[in-house]
Order: sequence, then C-alpha cells, then structure tokens
Amino acid sequence: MGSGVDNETPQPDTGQRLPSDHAPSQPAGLSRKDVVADSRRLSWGNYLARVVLIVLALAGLFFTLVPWGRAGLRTLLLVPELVALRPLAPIVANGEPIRHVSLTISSRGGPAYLDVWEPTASPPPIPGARQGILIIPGVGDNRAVPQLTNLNESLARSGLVVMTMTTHALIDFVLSPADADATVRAFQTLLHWPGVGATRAGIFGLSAGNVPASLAAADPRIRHQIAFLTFFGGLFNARDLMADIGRRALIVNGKLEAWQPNQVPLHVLANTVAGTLPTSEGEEIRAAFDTSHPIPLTNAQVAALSPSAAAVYHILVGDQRDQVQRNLDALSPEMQQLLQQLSPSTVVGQISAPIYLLHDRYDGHVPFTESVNFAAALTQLNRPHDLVQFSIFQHTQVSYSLDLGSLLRDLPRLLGAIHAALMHST
Amino acid sequence: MFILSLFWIILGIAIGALAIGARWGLRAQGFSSWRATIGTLGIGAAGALLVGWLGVLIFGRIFGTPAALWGGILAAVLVPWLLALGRRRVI
Repeated sequence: MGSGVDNETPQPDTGQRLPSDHAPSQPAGLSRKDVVADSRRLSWGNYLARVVLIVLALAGLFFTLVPWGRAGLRTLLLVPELVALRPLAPIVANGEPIRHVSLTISSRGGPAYLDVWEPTASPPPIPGARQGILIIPGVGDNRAVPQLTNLNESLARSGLVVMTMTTHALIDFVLSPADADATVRAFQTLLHWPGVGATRAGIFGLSAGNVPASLAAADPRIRHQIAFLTFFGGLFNARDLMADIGRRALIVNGKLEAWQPNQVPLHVLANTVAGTLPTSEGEEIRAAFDTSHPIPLTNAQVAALSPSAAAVYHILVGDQRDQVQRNLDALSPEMQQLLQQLSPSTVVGQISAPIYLLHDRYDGHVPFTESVNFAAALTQLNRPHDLVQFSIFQHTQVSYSLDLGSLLRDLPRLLGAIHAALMHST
Repeated sequence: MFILSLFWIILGIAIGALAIGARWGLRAQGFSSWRATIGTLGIGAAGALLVGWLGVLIFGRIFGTPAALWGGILAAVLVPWLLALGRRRVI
C-alpha cells in the first residue's frame, strides 16, 4: 500500500526476526534491516481499519454494557418504525418474539378493556425485570388503529411489556372522572404482570388519555409506584380548553393567536358536559356536535335552551368569540365541577412521578398551550418534567406529509423524549 | 435466532477482514500463510457468535448484535496477540 509493502506481509514482534520462510523478498540496494523496518510501517489504510475497529468496539460496548446506551439502542430501534408507520424487517429480526393478550377487569365506572403486548421470553438477568408501560390512547376505540398497534408491537419487541386500556366512556368519546379508577386498577394489573419490575412501570397518556392518567397518578393507591408519566397532546385545564375553543384563538406569550379546533374535541366536550344537562337538552347538544352527522341547532332551538346549555353551545360553536368569559361563567355549577374534576391542573400538586410533556405545536385537537401551562405549573411546584414541541405530528399521529427539514429538526427531540421514558427499562 | 446467528457469523468474518487490514490478525503476529488469514476470519466469526449469544442471554435479544460487534472485534484482535504471546513463551 502506501509503504509499498503488502498488507499481508507477516509482522514480527519488535526485535524478533521474520520467519525465514515468510520473509519478504529483499529489493536490490536495500539491506535486510531496511526491509524489516519498512514492513513494520503502517499505511493509512491500516490506520483507518484500526480506527473503524476501535469505534465499532466502543459503540458495541456502549450499547450493551452502559444503561444509557441500552436505552439509546431501544430508542434507535423504535423511532424508525414509528416514523415508517410499519414494522421494519431488520428491526423485527433483532427484536424479541412477542405475544398479545386481551383481558377485561372491573372498575367503579364499569369494565376496563386491557390489551397486553409482551415478549414471550422471561426477563433477561440484566436488568432482571422488564419495563411496563400503560398506554391510554385517548377517546374513541383505538384498539385496532394500525399506528397504535405498531407502537405497541415495537415497544414489546424492544423488551417492554405494553398494556393499553380503554373504557366504555372513552370509546364513546366521553371524559369521565370514574375512569381514574379504571386506570389505577389497570396500572396495578401491570405492576403484578409477570416479569414487570415494581419500580419500572409508567403511564403514557395520548391526547385526552392524559386526564385519567393524571387523576390516577394522584391516587394514593399508586402515586408512589409510578416511575414516569408521558403525556402526548394532553390537556391541563378543561375550562381553559373551553375558553380557547370559544374564542377560536390561543393566548401565546400574552398575545392572541388564531386557532381553529378540530371537530373531535367539540364532540368530546359536548358529550362530556351533556351528562349534566336535562336529557332532551343533552341530546340536542350531543347531536349538534356529532362528528359523522351533526345536526346544528336552529335559532329557535338555541333560544329555548337553558342558560347553561346555551352557554355551552355558543362556546363550542364559536359564534360568541368576544363573550367567552361570560359564557364560561354561565355554565351550571355541575358543569363547572365536572370541568374541574377532569382537569389535571386540579391534581398536579399530588403527582410525584416525573412528567414528560410532548405536544404538536399546531395541534388542532388540544392546543399546545395546554402543555405549556402544564410545564409552567410543574416548574412552579419544582417537580421534574420536560416539555417537547414537535411539528412532525398531527395531534398524536405521525404526519403523512413529512418534510425533511421538520424531520431533521424534530427527530433529535423525539429521540430525547423516547430515551427519557425508556431509561426506566435499563 | 438462526438468521441472527448467521448474521453474526458474517459480521464476525467482516470484522476479521478488518482486523487483517489493520494488521492485528494472525499473520501480523507472525503466523504463516493462508491458514492465518482464514484463522483470523474464523476467530472473528466465533467471537461474534459466542458474545452475540451471551448478549442475548444476559441483556435480551436486541442487545445480541451490538454484543456480537464488540465480541468479534475483541476476539479478532486479542486472540492472535495472545496466541503469539503463548508461542513466544513456549519458544
């Protein structure tokens, strides 16, 4: 190579003679001593090969022996599948074989439906137990949503036990304080699941799934057993959310920023508060904000509503944007109480687990200011937390129109957020 | 695990080739001819396979490949050096 000596030339140790049967031929004009010295000299190719080997060995050791590195490897294997929205063959081949189990448990609010994805093998000696994640995938029946199934399977393949929970209320697009008990019981089931470490289980609340997750995290039965909470696109204060919806604008750094809500949060809030109204009014409000067949109220119907129902209607329909505060104050005491009960802001002081807040900056379901306010409250309480804002998601799902710039900007943030949650697996 | 084991063997052979290129293989330690070349590749493959399996058993399946990586490298670099050391002592 560079030295003019073949790479495969035998290299004797310092001071040793070359074996006579493998000595390189001695070019004319050079002494044997010169040839030996020349054959010991390394070319740039030799050095490059050494550097590559050293870097690869250090990377291998880091990803195997260092806990931070093990969480990093899990993160690196998880993110491509999340972004690609499907399992990737090389990652599947390297991952754990998994199984899926469905079960139903009872709670104060009725049955809770659990789906568990777990590795088929027993936990490895290091760390000796698996990390468990209870996922509450928000409102609606998301159990067969491909992105959620892909997330669950990817996490399980990387060695975690993943449990998703839903209830009749959540499936029916209703937020209910009673679902806190279902979450507590599901978390207790996860804690007792074979192989799950007692200090390694956390809750991942997607969208409004952060409401039962927050209420459960403040429950004395499990509040000190939750290793972490990750909320993605969740709310902090239901009354503030109603205010943002009513004025069709957000307050960002003291300034109003136009914001158009998606139909889903209107549907959920209508369904949720309708339970506090007389049956006929409740049905009218529900029907007016139905996502598939909405039946808007006529002026005569609105005029016939009780003050509380009319206030809800005007807030959700957004036709009295400059009277939001007056309409909020006109809500019945039952509604005010319900909104308070459904607000993580009510229980934030009782949550002891570290909270990772993730939010789509342009979220049309729950405004990102909810997570900003959540983070501000946690800072004030001096509680461990982190807030990450993305633009590669649409609410909680990976955007189908990803541009490279956003991907490059958001990918490190996504890696950091997942890594923080997966540190509990090492 | 069969596919994964096969992958680790191929990875180990590649590591052995890199070790030869880095002059850390058997030939660089004074061992002779083509047997030393094959030997270095074999040591890399055996190291990767062994440590890959150990990685799976100790840390879990996803850690098998990074374990095979450093296992193959350590084997391809250290085993020739140890063999040369042993041979010099015997002589």
